Amino acid sequence: MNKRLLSALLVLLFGFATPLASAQDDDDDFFVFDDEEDDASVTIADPLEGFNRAMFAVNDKLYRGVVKPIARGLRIIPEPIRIGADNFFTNLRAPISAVSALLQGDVRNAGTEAGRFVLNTTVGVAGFLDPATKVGLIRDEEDLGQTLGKWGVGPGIYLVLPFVGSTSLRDFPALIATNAWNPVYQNLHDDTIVAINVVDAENTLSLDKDTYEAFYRDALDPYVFFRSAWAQNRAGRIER
Amino acid sequence: MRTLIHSCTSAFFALLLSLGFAAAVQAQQATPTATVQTTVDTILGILRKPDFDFDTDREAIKQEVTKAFDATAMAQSVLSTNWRSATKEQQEEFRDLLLATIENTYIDRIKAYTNETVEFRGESINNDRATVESVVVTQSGNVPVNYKLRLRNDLWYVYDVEVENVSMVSSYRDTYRDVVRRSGMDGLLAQMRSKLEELKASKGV
Repeated sequence: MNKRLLSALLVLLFGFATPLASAQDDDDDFFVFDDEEDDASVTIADPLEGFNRAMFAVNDKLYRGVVKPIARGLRIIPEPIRIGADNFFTNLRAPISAVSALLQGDVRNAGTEAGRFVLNTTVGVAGFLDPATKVGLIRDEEDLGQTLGKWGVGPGIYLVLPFVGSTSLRDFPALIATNAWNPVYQNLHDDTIVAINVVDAENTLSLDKDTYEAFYRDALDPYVFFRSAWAQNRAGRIER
Repeated sequence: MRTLIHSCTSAFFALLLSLGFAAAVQAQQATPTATVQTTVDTILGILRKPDFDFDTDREAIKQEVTKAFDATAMAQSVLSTNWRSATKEQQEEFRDLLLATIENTYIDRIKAYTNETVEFRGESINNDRATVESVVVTQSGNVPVNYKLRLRNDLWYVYDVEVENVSMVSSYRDTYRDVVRRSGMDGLLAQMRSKLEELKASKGV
């Protein structure tokens, strides 16, 4: 990834990415909306809904046809090993998480994430174990998308991209930067970084219990359901 | 793909919320946390019985959930402005369909998740509202689960659960708002009915 190009791209994108005003329901005569705390419903602009729905359908096919069968195959590996691998991948992201926390002015969490990396990489055998949690360094992972969010950059618009899934005009470039600028990845080829992300995703999925399928099956409109869940999750993580 | 997986994982933890449809409040003036904890403990107790059988014990879990929930408050909250424009009959049918939908999505899935432990981290009360914060401790990390409660007749009832910041009420609200806009209230009710029938048929219940 050409970093200068990326920086330019970021500026370009965020130059016109505007914070989104949440669509608020003007209800006050029945119980839930008499409290402004509940009034703040999270929504995300979706002007590319047609494209996004098409990509959502493509991803669903990819997921059911390729991604999930591979994850299922991984289940022949004993679960404790896959949990170790999950710890390993999480640990690889700890340095950029610490940087992101620092950029947000959250010195305490930056220290926690840096401390986690040092302890887990050494005592935790290259990150396969998580002794940091046991001594009270609790993971609170940050990325550059959350950092931009903290700085007041709204998500812009919702995007669904092949393989990437749910993201936004703010979060997709930030996701690339989060990977490109991770100190641990500095000497790695782009292909290797992509491979790390793919294996991580497959491993995570192997530990999951058909959640996507269940929510997809039960929702009246799966596209809207996953868009809503994604937007809420990101907004919550940024606020925290 | 990572973000897709992440949404999926978040969504998957949402099923854990069924453990928390709190409020089997026997004792009056129980705190919001005590209210949630009682129900969570009762449901985990059922799930961990040595002779637990999902088909026979499902009804007991459902009863705990129903008892804990302020179904009307939740239905109002989900429908938002559309609640007021709906007729009394539509409101009642919606409430019943919503409960059945939640039961289908969440209760159905909890049998795989009985080894998790739940830790309560604190509560905040603001007049007749309360938020109870908890964490579900899993092998691969902690999942924050917040319960929203409302005080009614001196008892606390849950009306929303947020898992990984994803509110159950908001998710349904966003989905149903679109349907009502396109097909009206009767359209929504029809779609909910046929979805439930489709699920029943596919599961052979």
